[in-house]
Amino acid sequence: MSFPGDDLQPSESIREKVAHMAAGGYLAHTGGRRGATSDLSIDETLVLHSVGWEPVELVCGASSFSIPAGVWLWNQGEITSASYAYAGALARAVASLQGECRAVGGHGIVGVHLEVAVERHLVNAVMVGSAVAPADGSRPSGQPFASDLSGRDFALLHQGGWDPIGLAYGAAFVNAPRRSISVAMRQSSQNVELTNYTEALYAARESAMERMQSMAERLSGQGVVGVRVSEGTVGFARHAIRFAAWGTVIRRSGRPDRLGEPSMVVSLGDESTAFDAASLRGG
Amino acid sequence: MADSGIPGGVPPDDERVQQDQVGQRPGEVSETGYEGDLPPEAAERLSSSAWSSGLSVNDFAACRSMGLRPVALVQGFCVMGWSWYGAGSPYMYRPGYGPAMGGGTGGGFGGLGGRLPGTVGGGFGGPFSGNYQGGGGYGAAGGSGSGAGAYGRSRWGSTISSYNCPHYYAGMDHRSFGENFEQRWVSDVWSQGFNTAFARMIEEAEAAGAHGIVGVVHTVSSLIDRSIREFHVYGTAVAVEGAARPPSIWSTYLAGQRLAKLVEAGFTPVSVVASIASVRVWAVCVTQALMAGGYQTGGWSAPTGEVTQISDAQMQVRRLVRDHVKSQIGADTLHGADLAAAWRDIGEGDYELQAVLRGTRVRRVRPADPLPPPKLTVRLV
Repeated sequence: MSFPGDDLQPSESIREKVAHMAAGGYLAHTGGRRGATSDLSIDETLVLHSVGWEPVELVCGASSFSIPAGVWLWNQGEITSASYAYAGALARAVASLQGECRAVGGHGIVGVHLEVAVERHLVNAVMVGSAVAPADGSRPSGQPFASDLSGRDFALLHQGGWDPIGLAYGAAFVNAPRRSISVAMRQSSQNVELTNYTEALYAARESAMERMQSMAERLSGQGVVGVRVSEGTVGFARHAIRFAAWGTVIRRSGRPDRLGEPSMVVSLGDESTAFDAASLRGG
Repeated sequence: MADSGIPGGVPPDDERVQQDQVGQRPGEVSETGYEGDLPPEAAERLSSSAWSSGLSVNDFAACRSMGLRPVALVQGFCVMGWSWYGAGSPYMYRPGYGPAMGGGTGGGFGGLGGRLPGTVGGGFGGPFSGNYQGGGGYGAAGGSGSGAGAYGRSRWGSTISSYNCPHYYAGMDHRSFGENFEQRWVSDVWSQGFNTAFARMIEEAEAAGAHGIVGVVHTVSSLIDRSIREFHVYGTAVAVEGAARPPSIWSTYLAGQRLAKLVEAGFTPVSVVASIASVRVWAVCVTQALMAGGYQTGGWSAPTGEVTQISDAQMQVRRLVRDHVKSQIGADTLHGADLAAAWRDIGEGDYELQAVLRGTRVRRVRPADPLPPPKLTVRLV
């Protein structure tokens, strides 16, 4: 009787492979066509390979934009110069990331780690990821995509008939609104909705996400997956609140969905069914 | 073994012989055939019949299933002098102002003598003659060697890009010239420390009769003093029963299951690789103004926008460290790369960026056996 998966047994047992390696058998080999670097884990490398892709090179993009003096004074509304600097730094960082990717012959970048630091007069954006390409060595067509999805997510999307096409992001810096003395007095004696705060923060959050979505449209994507939202005050200006949203833009690739219906599996790993005496006491 | 009095490097031969004699017990060294520069305690530990390992129980079990037998926890250690400042140090260099770096003068990183300014081809003449010919635009003026050949390149490093002032009038405190400078003396000292520690770990593994080292951990810290860097590399030496003695010992940051998957994927680990790059930024007036919000003393202001010199430095430091590693791995693959960068303010308009890249150098020894494409499942537990 044969079981599914039997045909996947490696021809050589791992012990034989290790013994070959231990005796220095690898010294007879010369490596690949050319050196490659990647920050993907072995699992990600394997899952990428299962859909016919492989890592090419560790690539980075970075940009610093200046924020003019005086913008952090407590005013009304959005702090547009800061929003502009933030968006500009990200745009330039993506551009240099794509430039590096093109230079090494990658079709796109997966697993982009995004680090943005906002200082009083400077926004620093740094992106690091692994450029990937199909293992068949085909030439890239068009602009390389940048995506903060993991190798696993990329493989799933790829199998499902979707292509990542780029990063979309939006940011808004706003001033927390001031309250007039009469409003502050009225609100200090009862716990009610602080409508001026609600309105300002609501609007800022919406405009950050709207900017992200309109960027996705400009990239002619159909949607954004893996959206992350980061918000908080800016350390050196407590009245200024920062909203940022970013994610990977995807669209249908035209390939059929090869994932199909999910199949049900009953896992025999029973880590969650260990006897728990506390449950008997209703605890 | 170097103690803290010796800033790195391998001690002279006569010292090494003495250490071996101290550490040697009858019959011990001849058994292993080992005659390195390890401290006597290491030889004693490695000759013990019990072994130690840094593996977790899971990793240990996975290694056993692959036929790997832990033989010893092996380590290499190296303490390097790491003086950043001081009279005559390369940190005093500022383009066009301070003492320029001597071309090939001085010797050794440890002594003050080696760092006293060489002032060869520097000073005012070198940089300025090169700059003003550039047209005075703000932007990268090409790579190293674009100006007069006598400046910007020495044993301490080389200029990666230079930046010129766009203004017509330059006061005494005006930064007419800025540059991004690869501080090779930093990466050299770092590599020397890491490589020495790594070589000592390999020596220990040889002494223990191992085939390879798994689960390598490496740390760079300042336990004693900030002007001292301690490079520590350690891992678990493993051997394969019955396998021939290898011509060289492989090493990897991976252990256990991940190592097994790597081997199944058709790769073999070759060695752990780590490198550093350091870029010093001496800001030109425009950079300095932008980083101060668009204004600076003397009434000069700059339009806001990208701070090209800083963007360049951020890119350069990462590219440099990747190129350092690429030059070490040849046609092999760097797997599981970990790139960490840090920024440091040294003074106004004076910054340092450092990037460390580490990973396992792996070699493809058989064509990849692709896994079946992923399938969706719903897991019932």
